[in-house]
Amino acid sequence: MGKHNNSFTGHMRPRQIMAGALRLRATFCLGGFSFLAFIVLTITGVLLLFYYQPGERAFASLSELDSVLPYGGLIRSLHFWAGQLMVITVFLHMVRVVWSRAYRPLKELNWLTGVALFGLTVMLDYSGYLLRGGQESGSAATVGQALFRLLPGGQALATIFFGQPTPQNGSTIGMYVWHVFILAGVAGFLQLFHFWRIRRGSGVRPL
Amino acid sequence: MGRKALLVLGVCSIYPVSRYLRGKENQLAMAQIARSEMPLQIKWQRHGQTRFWLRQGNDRVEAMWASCTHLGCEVSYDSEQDQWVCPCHGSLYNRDGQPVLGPALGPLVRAEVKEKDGFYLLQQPPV
Repeated sequence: MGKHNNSFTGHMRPRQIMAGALRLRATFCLGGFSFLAFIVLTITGVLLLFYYQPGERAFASLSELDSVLPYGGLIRSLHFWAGQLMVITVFLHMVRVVWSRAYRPLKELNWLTGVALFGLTVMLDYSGYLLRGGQESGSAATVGQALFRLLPGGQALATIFFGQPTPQNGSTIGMYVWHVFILAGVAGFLQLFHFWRIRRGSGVRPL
Repeated sequence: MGRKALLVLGVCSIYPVSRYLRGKENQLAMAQIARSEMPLQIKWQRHGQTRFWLRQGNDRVEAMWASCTHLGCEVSYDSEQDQWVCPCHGSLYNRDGQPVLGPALGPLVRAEVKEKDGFYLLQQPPV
């Protein structure tokens, strides 16, 4: 970092780092790619909020966004593909951690945090699929509700998470709040904690 | 990525983002055609790659907005059968746009035409 040693970016990184941890093969930067995807998702997601309308108008508002708005299709595609990429890189990241046995004590808490983050990523991907508001999202909501009902107290949980979707449309206000605010927010803060633990531990090669 | 790359990326995205945020949703399509460019006939003719179709009516120019009233697919005029056909669910309309067959129940919607200084000004109907 050299001259940045007194700056914030200097402090984000540990003072000392093991030479082995800097090798590309130690991490393949998979966590870094996941976080990059999350940043892209946050920026494009905020832009989509300006036009997206949950509920009845979900599909119509998205097709208008795709076809009428300048750069609307680009922004929506970026959001979609970054989401798909994040699920893949997060999964590969976990495979790497298991492979190099980085889940054992000292790093155990961060492994558990990562497991929670994986769950959140999958839920975010699923809820995003429902928010598209087409017929296939209605079917996906029906399947998801049926799965939720298998849990104890599942009917209540299903209503809290899904709202009242129809077989033709899985986009509801409830799903919107979960996707945009709760799931994404919790995932964001958990990631900061995740990175802080890495900083406290050994540190890794930055992306 | 370095700080400079991020800065360049940020500056480059200002214009697209501002275009996106200023864009109007539900903007209606418009077209302007020189009268000399499009000699009108009794039969419907399509204007370029748009959904506007024009013909010479009894006393004035008529324009059709070629969207099916069922689910909004693009219909086209078949001059041999003298009817409008929707490719999606097979709705048929007669030459004046009245529904004949299929899921569509309402007639095709006319576009507004104004003649001005040798131009036809077309405006998509708000549905």
